[in-house]
Amino acid sequence: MLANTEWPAYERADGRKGIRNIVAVVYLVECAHHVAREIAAPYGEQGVHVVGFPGCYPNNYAFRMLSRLCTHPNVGAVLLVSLGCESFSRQELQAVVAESGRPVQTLVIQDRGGTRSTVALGRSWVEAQLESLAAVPRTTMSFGELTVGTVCGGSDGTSVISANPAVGRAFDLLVGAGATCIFEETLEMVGCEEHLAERAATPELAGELRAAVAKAARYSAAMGYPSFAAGNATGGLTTIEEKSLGAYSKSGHRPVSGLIKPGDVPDFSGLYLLDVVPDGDVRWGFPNINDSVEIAELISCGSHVVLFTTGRGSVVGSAISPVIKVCANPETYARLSEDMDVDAGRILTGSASLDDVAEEICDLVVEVAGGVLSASESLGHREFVLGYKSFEPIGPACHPAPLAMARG
Amino acid sequence: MPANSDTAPVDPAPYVRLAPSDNVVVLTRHVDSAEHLPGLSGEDWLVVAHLDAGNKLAAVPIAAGERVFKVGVPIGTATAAIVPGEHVHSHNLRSDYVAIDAEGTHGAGEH
Repeated sequence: MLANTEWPAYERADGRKGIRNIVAVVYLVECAHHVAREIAAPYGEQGVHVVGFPGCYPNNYAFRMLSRLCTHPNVGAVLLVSLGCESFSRQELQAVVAESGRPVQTLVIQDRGGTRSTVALGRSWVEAQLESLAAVPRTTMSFGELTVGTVCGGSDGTSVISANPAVGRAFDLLVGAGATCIFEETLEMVGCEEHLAERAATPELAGELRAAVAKAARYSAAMGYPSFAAGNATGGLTTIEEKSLGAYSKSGHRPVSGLIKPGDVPDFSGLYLLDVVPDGDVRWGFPNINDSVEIAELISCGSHVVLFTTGRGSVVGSAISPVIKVCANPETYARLSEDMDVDAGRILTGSASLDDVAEEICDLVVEVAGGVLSASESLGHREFVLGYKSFEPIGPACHPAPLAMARG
Repeated sequence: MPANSDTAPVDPAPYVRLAPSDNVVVLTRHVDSAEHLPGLSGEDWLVVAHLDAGNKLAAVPIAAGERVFKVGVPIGTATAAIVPGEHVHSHNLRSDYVAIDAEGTHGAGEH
């Protein structure tokens, strides 16, 4: 049934399909952030989103992230806003976007007469794009072309009982219908790595998954915040591996098809683990200073929609892709219902089963993909955070071709 | 941590089995000492201590040395035989977690 579901979508020149038709206004250093924000400000309701990179020193990861986000299928046109003297290669980013077939323009504040005139130029360009984007070819889209990410934030003891396993079952359904699903948070998978490895599509991938969790454990220990503290019996948690289950249970029960890093867009449908912990020495501080970084990374891997589970009650959304809030705790839902999309706490009160909520999540994914605004979207949440990191490219063992294709 | 269940649900079974293969269930509200709960196979489970939501009860008989599964994932090994409905916690469940990093930063609280 799910596999046959279709919804309206936007067709991009590169053949990918989007569920939103966004104009991205991109600052290439913090010094250009205000101008970018001012350009976008009048068009908040019309799908003009601000993303960018604050740093003045060059960083390959940040370049790759912005390249992927600017050519994300939800994005229809891109305005780059440069101060002029930053290290970020605006020419290269403009070339990447132009090559994808999208309208792109670069405004250099130092060459355009300053703040007021750059804002005016930017707004007139954005207005022209909003008009032409209305003519982007429409098509239909199905699960085989959809990518869904998941993240948790503000978790509590109810998360593992309700929202997280419900998202896991939704992932089982979505992957079964042909979608690409991405989970992450290797830092919170310490203790689950053997079970994770058992789900790997190949023995080589199993080794890569173990190594990714080991890297996360080393990294967090070096930062002084190991991902497991002294055993905490409150709320009934007994072992480390049980504690890690909270995050891990969002991944469902399907085999793991591959291990990807920020900016890697999977070549085949399936279930992927996104490794967000930098490679090499501990140089860049905390791997994820907040949930918004992780959401941006999930979107850089092609996520059209992100499922965000919360117990305490996060209110964030994101630029580029809609965030759907799945609330684990019924008391939190009662308090913050205007920010929530799914009341998974009904599992605790006995008025819904995990399967009921999983189906509700899948139905909502279809609705939001079809254009209905999620709660955070309708409230104007467009958070975006990007910092410094470094990654080695993934090896062939991380992303094996599906068995049938490899043999076929 | 789990919600303070100040409203006793009408639902006769205040627990969930998070995956079909699990040999434990998780309480969805607090239960009181001497409370009787309907077991998974229709038997009577007698709770012997006050337990907060989020605690685990054995869903089926678990032998000493058997792995305990929650959400379909092993969370440790039983250190004693456990009967259905019995509380599963640090007194009868130990971690199977083995160090994966040379620094040995894990396991501070494992007893």
